[in-house]
Formats: sequence, C-alpha cells, structure tokens
Amino acid sequence: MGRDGFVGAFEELVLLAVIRGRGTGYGMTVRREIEERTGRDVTIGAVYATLDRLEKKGWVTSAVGEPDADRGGRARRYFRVLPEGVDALQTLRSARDGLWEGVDLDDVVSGGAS
Amino acid sequence: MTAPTRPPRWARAVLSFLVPESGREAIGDLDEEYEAFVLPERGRAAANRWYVGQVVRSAPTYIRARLQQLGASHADVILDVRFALRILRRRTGFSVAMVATLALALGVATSIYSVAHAVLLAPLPMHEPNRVVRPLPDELFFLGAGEIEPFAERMTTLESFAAWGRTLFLFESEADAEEVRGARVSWTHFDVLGAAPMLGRGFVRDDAASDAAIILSHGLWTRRFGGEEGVVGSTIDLFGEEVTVVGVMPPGHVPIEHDWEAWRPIPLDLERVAQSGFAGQGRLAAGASLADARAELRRVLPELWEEGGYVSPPQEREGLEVQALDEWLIGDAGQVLRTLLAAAGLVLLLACVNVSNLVLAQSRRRRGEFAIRTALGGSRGRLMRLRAIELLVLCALGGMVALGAAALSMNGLGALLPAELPRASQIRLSGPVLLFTGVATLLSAVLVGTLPTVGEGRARVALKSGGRNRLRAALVTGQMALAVLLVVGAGLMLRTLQSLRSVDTGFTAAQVVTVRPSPPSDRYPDDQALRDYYGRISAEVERLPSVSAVGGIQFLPMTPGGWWSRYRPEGLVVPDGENEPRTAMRVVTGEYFDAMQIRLLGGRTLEESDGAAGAEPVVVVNETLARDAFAQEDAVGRTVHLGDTSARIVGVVADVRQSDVRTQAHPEMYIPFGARPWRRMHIVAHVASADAVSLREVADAVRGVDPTVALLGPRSMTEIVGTTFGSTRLLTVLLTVFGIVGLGLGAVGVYAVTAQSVEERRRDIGIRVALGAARSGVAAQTILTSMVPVVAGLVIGWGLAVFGTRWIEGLLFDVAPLDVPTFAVAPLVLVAVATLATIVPAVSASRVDPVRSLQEQ
Repeated sequence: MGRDGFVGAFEELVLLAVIRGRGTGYGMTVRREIEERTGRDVTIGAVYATLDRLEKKGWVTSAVGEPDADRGGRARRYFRVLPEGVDALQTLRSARDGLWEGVDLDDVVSGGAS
Repeated sequence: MTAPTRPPRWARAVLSFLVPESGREAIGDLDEEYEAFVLPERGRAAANRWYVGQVVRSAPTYIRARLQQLGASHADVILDVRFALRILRRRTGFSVAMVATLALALGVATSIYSVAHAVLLAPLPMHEPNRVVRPLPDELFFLGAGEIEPFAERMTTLESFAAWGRTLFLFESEADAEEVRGARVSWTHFDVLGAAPMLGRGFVRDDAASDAAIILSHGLWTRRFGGEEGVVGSTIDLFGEEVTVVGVMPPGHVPIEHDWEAWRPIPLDLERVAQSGFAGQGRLAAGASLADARAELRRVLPELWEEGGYVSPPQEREGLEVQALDEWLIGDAGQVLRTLLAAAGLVLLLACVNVSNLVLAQSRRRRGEFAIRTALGGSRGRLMRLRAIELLVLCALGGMVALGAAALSMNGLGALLPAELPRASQIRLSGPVLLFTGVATLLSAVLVGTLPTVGEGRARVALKSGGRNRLRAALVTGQMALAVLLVVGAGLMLRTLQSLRSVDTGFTAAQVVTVRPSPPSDRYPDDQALRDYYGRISAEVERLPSVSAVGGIQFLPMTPGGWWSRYRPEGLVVPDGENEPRTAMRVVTGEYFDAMQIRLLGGRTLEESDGAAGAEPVVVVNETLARDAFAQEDAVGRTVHLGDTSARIVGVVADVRQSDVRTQAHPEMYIPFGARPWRRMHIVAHVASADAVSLREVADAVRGVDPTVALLGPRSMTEIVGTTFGSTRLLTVLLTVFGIVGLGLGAVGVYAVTAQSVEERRRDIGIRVALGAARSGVAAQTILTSMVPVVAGLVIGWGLAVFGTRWIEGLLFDVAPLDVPTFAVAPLVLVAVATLATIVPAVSASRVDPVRSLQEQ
C-alpha cells in the first residue's frame, strides 16, 4: 500500500487504465484494460479497493452515471485522473527512468554489472 | 430451454452481501462484463466459473475492508468478545458444561426442526399444491376404466381429474429382473399434480393412444439406467413390451404413493385396460372448496352407479370424503412432528434453566471481579455488555456445536422416519433450518441472560443470599415440571409401542420368512403353469431342514392390496335395494395357516385336494365372518353364495389383523389356490429362526425353481409388521431420548443447586455440627431441603401433564391419556433421580469439619 506521494505497482496500473479510458472508464473497463494489456487476471474487488484509495489520495475523481437496466439497474461510476494523479505518475516515471539509465539487464544475467 | 443470461444466483448473493453500500457499482460491473463479454466469448459454464472466481477472489478484499470499518466503530465490542473468549477459556469446566448443555438442546431442536421443515412446512413441489385433492377412501372411491371420463366431466368442482391404478412393472436385464412399483395413470396425471419431468416431457394424449410410453422416477433412472440422459427417448424392453422412456421426474417429486417409481398412461383403448378400481386426484376449480367437492362427489358417484358404472353403491355415499393431497400424504406424521417440536422446545427450556443456574453460580464467584472493575471505573453499562457478550459467545458456540451434531445425526434420523413420509429423504440443513437454529440460539441467550438478572435485583435488596436461593429453587421447580412432562410423554409412547407389540394380530410374526415371486405371463401363461410353478416352490422350500411349514397367500397381512367380494350366507334374503355383505378374499396355498400359526377354531383348514379340478368348492372363513353371517351358530358345514357359485365352509380360523396392527379384522374368506390360481403369491415359510441365513436359504430355494423370475424380498414377517408402526416408533424413540435428556438435565440442575447451597452454608453447618448435630441428620436435612422445590415441580408438572397429554391422545394406542401406571411411575422416577443427585452434596455436607469451616471466615 503506497503512502501519499508514492505510487504502488498496482496503483500505477489502475491509474494508467483510467487515463486510457479518457474519462469514460469505469470499474469494468479498468479491469478489462489491465487484464488485456498486462495479461494479469485481476479481481473487481481489488480494482475498486485501489480506486477508492486513489480517490482518497485525491489522484482520481469519480462520478456516478444513470442507472442502467442492462446492468441489473445499477449505475456506472466513471473515473477520471486528476492533475495530482498525473503528477504522481510523472514523478514515478522520471524516477524510474533515472534508475533505468545505463542498466543493461543482459549484463546482470551474465554477472557483469553489480 | 433458453439459457439464463444471469450469473449464478448464489454467487451474486454472496457478492451483494460482501460489497458495502458505497461500492454497489462493482456488482453492475461484473454483471455487465459477464453478459457482454465473458458469456458470449467463453460459454455458460466457463463464464459461471469466471464469475464465481471473481467473487471468491474479491471476498478477502471486501471482508478486510468491512473488518476495518467495524474495527473503527466497534473496537471495544471486538475487545469484549476477545475478553469473553479468554475468560471462557480460563474456566474450561464451566464453559464446556454450558456449551455442551446448550449444544445438546439446540442440536435436538435443530434436528427435529429440519424434519418438520422438510415434511410439513415446505410446500410440495407442485403448482398450487393446496388445490390438489383426493377422493377417499379407497374402499369406496374407485372407478372402472369406463367411468373415468364421465366422472371427470361431471365433477364441476374439479378443474381437472386424473385417475390412477397401482401396478407393477418388471424391468429385466441380462443380469437380473427387478419388480418396480408404479401406476397406470391418466395421461393428464402430472398436469393435474402440477409437476413436470426434469428430463424429457410429460405424457401427451398420443402416449395414451399408442400405449408405449413410460416415465421413470429419478431413483429408478439412476439405479437401473446409471442416470444416462440418453435413456430418454430410447426404447426399453418392459417384459416383452417395447416402451419408450419419454421423461424422468426430478428427485424431489412426491408420488401419490411413496414407492412408485414408474408411470405409464392408462390406454385410451379401454379394451386394453385389464385393471379396474381406479383411484385419482383432482385439482379444485377456482372458488370451489373441499366441502363443495365432497357434496358433488356424493351426488355424482350414485349417478354413475344408476347408469351401471363400476363404482361403489349409493348406500355408501356418506362415507365418501375429499381430502387435500398434502394432508393425506403427511397423515398423522404432522401431529407426531408437532409433538416432537414441542418436546424439543421443552428440552431447550430445561437446558436454558440449567445454564442460567450455572451463570448464577458464576456471577456469585465473580462478584469480586466485578467489584474491582466497578471500583476502577468500569461503567455499569460496560459491565452489563461484557456479560451479555460472554453469554452470546457461549450460546453461539453451543449453536455451532449443535449444527455440527445435527448434521451428523441427519442419516440416523432419516432411517427412523417411516418410509411413506413424503420427502423424508430430503432432510438437510437448509437455509430455513439454519435460520431456525440462529433464532433459537439467540432466544436461549436472552433467556439465559434474563433469568439470573431477574434474581439479581432482588438479591441486592435481600443483601444476603436469600433472594438468590429462592430464585434458584424456583428454577429447580421449573425444571422438574418440564422434566415431568417429558417423562410422562415418553412413558405414554413406550406403553403405546408395547400395546402395539402385544396386540393379538392373529398370527405369529416371529420365525416367519416371506418372499414373493412374479412369474411373467409369457412363460407362465395359464392357471396350470402357475399351479405347477407354486407347487414346485412349495416342494423346494419344504426340503430345507430349517423350514417346518410353507404356504402362500396373495395379500400378506400388513401389506397393501386387497380383493373384495360380495357374499350371501345360506338362508339370508337380501331385501331389494340393499347390498349383500362384503368380505375380503384370500387365496392361500399349502400350509399357510400353519406357517403363520393362525389358530383353527373349528372344522379343518384347506388341503391340497380342495383345489383339485372337479373337487367340491370349499372355503375357510375367519371368526368375524362366521359371527356376522351365522351369529352364534356353527358356521362349519354351512354354504355361502358368491355371485352364481356356492361353496361350503369347512373351517373357521381366528381373525387376523390384515391392514395394520391398529385396525380390527374384517370378514375374510380363504379359498384354495388350486381353485383360483393367483399370479403373484407371497410365499410364507415357518423357520427355526428368521435370521439372515434362513432369509437367504428360502429365497435361494424359490430362485432355484426359476432363476429368471423377479423376487420381492425376502423379508422377515417381524420387519413387515414393524413398518406398520409408522411414526409411532419414531415418536417413541425420540420422546424416550428427550425424556432421558430431560431427566439428566433436571438431575444436573438439582445437583448444582444443592451443592451450591451446601457450599454457602458451610459455616452454618459447621456451627451445628460443633453444637452436636448428628452428621446423618445434616445429610438428611440437606436432602430434604433440596427436595422441597423438586416436589413442588413434580406437582406442577403433573398438573400440566394431565392437560398436556390430551394433545397426543390421537397418537396413543390402547393407552389412556391419563394412563395410571405412567402417571404413577413418572414422579417416582423423578424423585429417585433427584434424590440421587442430592446424595453427593449431602454427604459432603455431613463431612464438614466444624473447626475448618469456622476458621475459613
């Protein structure tokens, strides 16, 4: 579980999936996006637990739509990433890029750079 | 059938339960994905697996979230539960006693309720089952094949009517032949019942026209056809007849008679209907009542009689009744189960009183602990809650153990139930049963919690332990009263079972073994073939060294079936418009009367030569017929007319209870097999001992004559008689168990209270002993003091029992509800048990060392 300002690995996936939804992403699309792009079989429970956490951190916001008869009369909750979330992702990305610089995994495997 | 597009209902219910109010969208998300993507992409089975997987794997996440939420708002409750568990673990003896007592009583209540729920409360698996009715009784309501349709048309109070007649189907394979009970039914049978097959289809009119269709029960389908779906639509060989299996009924189907396993339509071509005497069931028309249907039935049958139909005559119309099918199916088991539920409730009350007693004792011991807590600032409310939680935890543990025990007892309980009880096989711990146990547990907790606090208020006023002692005495009184009720109930039922067992049935069941072959009509086409076949069986069975007599009868006592006939004793003139008297006809072979040890009262029994061709027609009659027909005169040598034939009575035998042990004998006439061969005869052999060995020997001897003939049995006659005791045995066994449990709980209660009061009065006793009181006197006084509330309880319980036993009057047999021996013995048993329970504390009182008891203070 990430502290404020720090993005957990699963949080990163969820945030990216929400961004890819371009404001029309909701629970099901987020779950499917992660599953299709990463091959990881994730549960709806885990997705929502993370989304709730991200919302509490102020990184995403959500809005509940109209009830939908096709879904047993249940409304969709659409998620959108807030600027704070984008910042956090950006920070994560540059931190990561910095660390990746000059790392050659083949060397690691052959025992070269350590 | 269209595939439902919804995910599995239970999984969805679990999810709804888990997901908090604020996260309901997740349910919609899963539904949407299931329907829009997973179902079309992967098919139903895989999609359902996927859905269940989502729910199951999401569960920990949701549960953790819920616990966190709970922890925040109820942190102290969780703390209290933990604390309660710690306390209970520390007082192992006390906790085990409480949990065991509660578990015992709750387990009993759960088991009984599970039966009651399956049999009584859950509606029959039919469409509007309360509208399905049966004309009764079988002796008066019967239709010829030709009357079925006219009857159905004239009964306007019945929206529809379907007839049935019992029959036997012979299923053969290379390995064996099996006789299956079932019925020929109107093709509308299942529509009238409002029941549908789980596989294939129900009967249609064409099936009745072609007469080549059969529907199987679930049990028969799994047993003989391995549950293969392919059987539906296939043709099977039913003893030389080609019939198509058109459907399989679901496992929960309740047939009209409990042992039916196959159905064929009554053929439209009445020429093909060999049977007559059809019964049936109808569905009440909208707005029609049972009384309307009865009135119409009593009008319509005489009309059919006037027109020459095969129905009972108008004189007997008053006996015709219409009963709701479910009521008829359950019979007196309803009252049995209600009685058992009441008894289980008494046991539960007893247990609660005991536990209250224990709690009361505990609270004395823990006065110090609570005082310290209050002194340290523990609020009264908090303390109360702590104790309430302790009780709830205890009761919950008791409830859980009870559920486990009830689950284990399900099989044993099922075996005790009479086979004809509908749905006895479907007893299980279903949702409603769990709910019942939950509510019962909660109520117990409330009861256990409030009983001692009632006393506490008073105790504070009384300052010393006087009030508390009075409360405890009152609890003992209540317990004893409850125990009296249970013991009296058990006593009455034991006496009933004893009366049933000692009824003179007219025959001796012990040492009798019986087996019934079904020689098929293609290989045994005529009377001569049947005479030869049964002659060879007699010879084979007789050769067995353990067999002393062998005979046969077409309708064995205590089994269903009957053949009735009108007869006219010589010299009797029947006035016009009246009927000749009726008698049951029994076809017997060989030494039937010897094998069953039926007493010969006059004349002789039937002999082999009586049935020979050209011999004079002779019969043997029972005592009732002889008395009815010839009053005080000797019946032997007289003539009876049966239609246009006559026969001479050569002997009179004792009455035999034919239908069941409770029912008096009716007129019976025995005719020799030779004169009227019958296809399916019960072979009856008198053996040295009716054990497994002789059962097999007799069956093997019969099978030796023709191994391809299907056999029913072998069974011992004692077993057959036992089945007719029906629910009486169940009620007796369970009430006896409850009675013993009640006695035990009562004894524990008396013991606990006596021991407690001795403990409290150590100092008093010490002083008295120091002042010269005899130790035996101390013991005697202890016992006497304890007996005061016991005797008060006995008197109250006795009074309640006097009124209460009227409730089970209908279940008794040959025992008065105020049976003197039972009412005399029950209090004695209780006094004896209570005295025993006080002896140990009394002895310990007499051993009080005055010096030490005085120093203790």
